[in-house]
Amino acid sequence: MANLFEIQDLSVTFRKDHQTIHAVDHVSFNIPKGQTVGVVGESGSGKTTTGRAIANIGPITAGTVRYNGTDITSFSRAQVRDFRSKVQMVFQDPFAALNPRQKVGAIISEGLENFHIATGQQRQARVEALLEEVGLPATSLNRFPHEFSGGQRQRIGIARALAVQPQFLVLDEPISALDVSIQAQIVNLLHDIQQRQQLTYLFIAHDLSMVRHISDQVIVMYQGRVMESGPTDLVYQHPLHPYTQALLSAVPHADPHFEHQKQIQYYHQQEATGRLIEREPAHFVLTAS
Amino acid sequence: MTTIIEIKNLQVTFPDDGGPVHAVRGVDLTLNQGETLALVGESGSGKSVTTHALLNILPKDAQVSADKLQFNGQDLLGLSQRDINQIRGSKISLIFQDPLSALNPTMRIGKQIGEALRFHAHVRGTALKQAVHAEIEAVGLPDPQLIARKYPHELSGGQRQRVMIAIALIAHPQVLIADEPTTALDVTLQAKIIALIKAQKQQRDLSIIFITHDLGVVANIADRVAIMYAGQIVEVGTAEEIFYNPQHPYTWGLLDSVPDPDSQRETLFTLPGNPPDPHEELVGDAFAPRNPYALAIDFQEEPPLTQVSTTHFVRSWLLDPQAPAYEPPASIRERWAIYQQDQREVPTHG
Repeated sequence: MANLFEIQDLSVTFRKDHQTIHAVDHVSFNIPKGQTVGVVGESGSGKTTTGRAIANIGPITAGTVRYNGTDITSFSRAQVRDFRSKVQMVFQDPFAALNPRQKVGAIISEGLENFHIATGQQRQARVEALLEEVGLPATSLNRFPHEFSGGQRQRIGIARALAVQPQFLVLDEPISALDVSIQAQIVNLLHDIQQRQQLTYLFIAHDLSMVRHISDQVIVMYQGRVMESGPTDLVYQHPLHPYTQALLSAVPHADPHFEHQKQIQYYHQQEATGRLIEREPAHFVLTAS
Repeated sequence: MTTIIEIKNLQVTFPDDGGPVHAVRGVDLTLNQGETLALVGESGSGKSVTTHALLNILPKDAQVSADKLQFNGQDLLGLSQRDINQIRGSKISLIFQDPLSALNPTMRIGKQIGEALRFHAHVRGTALKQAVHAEIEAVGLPDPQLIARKYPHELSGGQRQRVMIAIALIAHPQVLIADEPTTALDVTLQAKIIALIKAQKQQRDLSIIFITHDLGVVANIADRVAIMYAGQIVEVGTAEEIFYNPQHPYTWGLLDSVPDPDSQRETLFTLPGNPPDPHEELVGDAFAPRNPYALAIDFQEEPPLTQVSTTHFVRSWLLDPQAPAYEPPASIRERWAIYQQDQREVPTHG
């Protein structure tokens, strides 16, 4: 299976109050074409910074991110332009990400304009097709973002991302601001779109149940490091790192019998150290060296 | 069982440019001494507004009416603002989802925690300081002297939520209203905060109204559960009844939209559509347009409250004796099977 992205020893550091913060620390993983890689971790674990680095909209301090075999930091101007249309982001808060003064039609067609994808009549038809793709009525294009509910706004955000015909979406907590029944609608929609358009996803979330549901591979992050990674079923059924075991033990189940009996493990280790070792085929675990 | 809060036919309406907003439309609710009642529903279902009506902290232009709105048998609706202020914080306390916006950014943590004691019990000086430090310790924060001198932005999200809990509990309230206190937290932090709330409930004999939309959290913490939809309670029962013998199609939908952490299904169950516009005067059952089990009568008449057990009530035409036979989704029938098993295992007396 070909990899769309190969991330090798990616590090991102920031300076804050005369200290160096290792937001992302020697992170390595692959994103196979057509699959969904889920990234889980608590806030501050570096998952969003990793996503932004991969999408080439955030800094890379060291290491390489290869897209179809080419290092994204060595891109020519033309390659950057091509990459911008092939890689799109969907954010947690669709309302903050949508210009409140623009009508939905203008928001969605902005990318079409920037990349000269369609003009005039064609553009209108394309926007209508995109709205249909995400399950919104064609009449939405003459309305403003505030006229829509949270779930509908996230559909608009997805339509905008799809407008430029990308291959890859970075979905940064796309459902965590939504109500339960709406979360399921959006996850199903993302799944359908992926099937229809053969897209590749990086799905960043702190909801472990949803990540399991949608991902083929999962990356568990803590303090900028990958603690564990591998095929989703393997990591969830057979977690090997104590941090992953702690996270999974804390996931609430909608089942009082289970909840009343469960024992939560906590992870007390202060620092994540060691290196990733392949403990089972394709299943990597941070192991003290 | 002593009833500590009793609400009957609560209605809350807000004026708005597009006509009145019907936020709460006839809620009946009781909170019993020593229990945790989970109030579950999606945004706009009226769960926060219901509790804010209780504390009289709704916006000034809200129109509130109720047949009964009582705390310990005392009527809250007729009380002066002064009397309500006395109850709020000392008898009934509130914690919010976002501690950062609820805390005063320019006031030291210690002073904020001590405020309720100063205001309600007129405690001052060393006694106040000691009480504050004891409270900081009680909510599991290290080094009370250091924490007391800090400002909110110097604490982590989890620490701030512990501070909120200290503020809420220092004046020894009888009732704690926790409004989505863990929604913004990661799973491990969430588990710790829930464990803290449960421990404090035990130690201080609190009664809790826990507002959330996370059914996993509800399964962990609730003794009883009330499911709200469009300003009404559509189903209420013990946690056992709601999770293993749910009767309302909306409750089925909520339970089915949660992905099972132990298995992977291709497609998640979804409720179609969106909740009704709160401006609308509703005809029939508010849930009917999204309800795959809706009957013709659902679109014409509001369903009555049907009693399933002494603790379990459902607002659905499906439970009417004249309703045609129906079969809930397989996942719900699995839950029913667990319930029947449990019923057989529990020995019945009398």
